[in-house]
Amino acid sequence: MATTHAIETVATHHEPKSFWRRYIFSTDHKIIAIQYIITAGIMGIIGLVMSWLMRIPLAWPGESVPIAAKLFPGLFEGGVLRPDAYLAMMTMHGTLMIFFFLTAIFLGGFGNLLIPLQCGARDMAFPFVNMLSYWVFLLSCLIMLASLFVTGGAAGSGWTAYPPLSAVEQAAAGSGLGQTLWLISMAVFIVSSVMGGLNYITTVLNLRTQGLSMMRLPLTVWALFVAAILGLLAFPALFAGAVLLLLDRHLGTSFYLDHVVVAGQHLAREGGNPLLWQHLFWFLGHPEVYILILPAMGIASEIISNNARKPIFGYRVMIYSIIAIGFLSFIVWGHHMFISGMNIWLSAAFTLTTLIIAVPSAVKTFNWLGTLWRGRLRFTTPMLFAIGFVSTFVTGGLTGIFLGNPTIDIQLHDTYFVVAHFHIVMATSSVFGVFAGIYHWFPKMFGRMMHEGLGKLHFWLTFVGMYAIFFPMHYLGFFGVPRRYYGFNALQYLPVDAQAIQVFISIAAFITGAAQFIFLFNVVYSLLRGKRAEANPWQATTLEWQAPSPPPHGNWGEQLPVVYRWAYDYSVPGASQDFVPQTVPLDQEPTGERYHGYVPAAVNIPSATVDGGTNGGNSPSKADGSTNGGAL
Amino acid sequence: MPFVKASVQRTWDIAGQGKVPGGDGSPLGGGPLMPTGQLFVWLLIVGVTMLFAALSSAAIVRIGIDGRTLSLPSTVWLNTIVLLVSSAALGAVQWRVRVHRAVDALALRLLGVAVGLGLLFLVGQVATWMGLVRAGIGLPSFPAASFFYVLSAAHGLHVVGGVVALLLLFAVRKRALLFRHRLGPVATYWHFMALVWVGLLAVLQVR
Repeated sequence: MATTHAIETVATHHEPKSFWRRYIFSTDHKIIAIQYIITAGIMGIIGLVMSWLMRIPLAWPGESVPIAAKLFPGLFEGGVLRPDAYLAMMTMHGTLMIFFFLTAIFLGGFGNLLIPLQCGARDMAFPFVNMLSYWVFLLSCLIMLASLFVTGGAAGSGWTAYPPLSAVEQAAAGSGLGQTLWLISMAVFIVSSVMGGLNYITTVLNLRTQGLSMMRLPLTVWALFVAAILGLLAFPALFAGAVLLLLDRHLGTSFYLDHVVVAGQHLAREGGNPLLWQHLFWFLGHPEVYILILPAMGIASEIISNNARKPIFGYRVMIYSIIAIGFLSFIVWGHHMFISGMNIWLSAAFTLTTLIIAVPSAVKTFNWLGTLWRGRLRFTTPMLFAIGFVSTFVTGGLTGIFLGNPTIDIQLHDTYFVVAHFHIVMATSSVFGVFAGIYHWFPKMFGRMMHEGLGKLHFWLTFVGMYAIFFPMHYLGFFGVPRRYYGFNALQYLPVDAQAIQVFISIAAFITGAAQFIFLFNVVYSLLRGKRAEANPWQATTLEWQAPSPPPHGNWGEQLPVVYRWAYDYSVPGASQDFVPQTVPLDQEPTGERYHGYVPAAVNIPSATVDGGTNGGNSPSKADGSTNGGAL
Repeated sequence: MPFVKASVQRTWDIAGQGKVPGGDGSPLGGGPLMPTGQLFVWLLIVGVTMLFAALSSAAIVRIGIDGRTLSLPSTVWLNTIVLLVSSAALGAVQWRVRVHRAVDALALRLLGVAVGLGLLFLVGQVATWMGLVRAGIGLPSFPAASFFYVLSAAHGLHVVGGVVALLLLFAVRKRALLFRHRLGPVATYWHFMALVWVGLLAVLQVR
């Protein structure tokens, strides 16, 4: 099967020879992707350990835990985690997981890996800016981690950094230098994200190879593309908010503060309003959760289609849903602020938009199920994680509809119900997207297969474990257990069962967290001993699988690939195999592109008329008279 | 550092000289929407617009509630004229290079004028701040003053970036093709800086 055709000789790319330029200060998108994945992974592991530390006093309040105290002496007193250390762990756990793990690994990791490869480009549009983006990201990581070691400890105002707690240095232990470093780190992180986002969007728009129309792009690229646009539009708002907060903290302005009294001392501030921060924060904060879920959706779409050996169901509708979710994500932020005080009509508007965003989300879920339906399913490890993604996305998404309604949200706000909802979507669905992606593209990154047995063990422990951790939290929320509290002794209304559930959750968290080390072991083992991967081990259609594993510098050798068809030609009737790569000309194999995978049984169409011309793509060559019929 | 230079060079080569094939010709169907460097700058402008939109909306709300406005010193208006003239000078450079298809001495002189006025604008902004401080109006004095400092500082930092980009144009003045490819994106950014400053002045006049 011919896979590449000469179209034009591109600018010569000289592969760097020195170790420093090849692996450290590399401008190669694949190396930068691996740098992002490793760095984000380390931040994720630190965030995981922090969650363990938080779970100790929640399950066993006041009890001494000598092992943990020995490992982290600065956080424990008398063998017990200090309350201020708990708040610092809570804040840093959320911050690291949302920004420094998930955002970085999706956009920086998978964005860098997949966008140029699946677009048929040699690299990002601006390789130097790309490299700079990683190093600025690393700087932001180091600043954030440094805040753990300063006087007063790390920030303790939550990942949302609401003032006045975050705006007044004297407010609490974590409100001092730790909070300042948190803000500086976030500002630096945003600079890195914007640099990356500019590159991703430009690359998708301008560097697609010949024949690759937007309507032929894999859904991973569409998802990453829209997520990058969301980041470009939303992150500057948080940057602005962070600058104003720094000025309030250090230069005496009153953007967010109004007549604050701390320990009997009146601070000379007047007229500010903490709600201003909430608006600026959530203008980023809500699109941010879609920045984290959209790439996972794209990855799941790709893997489900590949492993069901079927075209993705409703390809165009999937794209329109991604765009709709991206647009709607900008007009729902007020649902985080129902309890903060809001005009009832405004809250009604935010409720409406929040409920509407469930529609494209449900459409996507329907399409994933439609793709799975009657497919020839291969239950590989990435497929298991992709199906797990769908499961947890539905579970977590449904409770989002509850919380979008103010009459329920006001009752459940700041309880463990919110923690359950958020973690089932973000900590589970998104993380499953990460795992699915790593298991799927590991062979392309490193040229070796991951161990399937270990992968499946990892999946089942994580899948069951995540539900064991987060599902019971709904009940805690119904009981009225408040989130972010160090202890609950004073809350007489809580039933005794609430504490038993906390113990169960903590044990599940320790086991599930420990299961992640199976994954780490698998990574190391597979790098050293894994089976050598061929170019296309999953028998996939998209461009990256037409390059060697791992692809060389410049990805494509002398000639760029040419695309003749969409990304989902699986099980095309009349084709010689159950997959047809995008690079195969139409005169060699038929396509189901015009029908987006579904070819009615009654139709028997010469493939010359199903060349994708209606899909925005003018194929470089026309097909011969081979036929294409039958139902997929 | 040679590798930095090489990377930047490669970036611009890809951006400007059409060595990477784009697709099948139509904007949706593939092919560059516009030169890659120009697209990058437009996207950058989108991001910068969001930053100033966030700051401006905060300013409108906060100043509106407070009710006090800042009477802008005359240096601000002079600075505005300086920046607008700088933008016009760069527009003249674009016209000159487009018409003559060469980077001649007049084009370079006009570019020098644009850079010089850009620097003068920055000096003028600092002078304005010093004047305000002498008049007892500091950053924390009242919201309109706070936002004047914040907005003008944020804008000033972006202008510094623009001045650096303009100076880098001088560095490639003997490579006409590269100069022309870079001129478009840099000029777009510089004109945007002038435009956004006028917009910010309007925000600061909110009552």
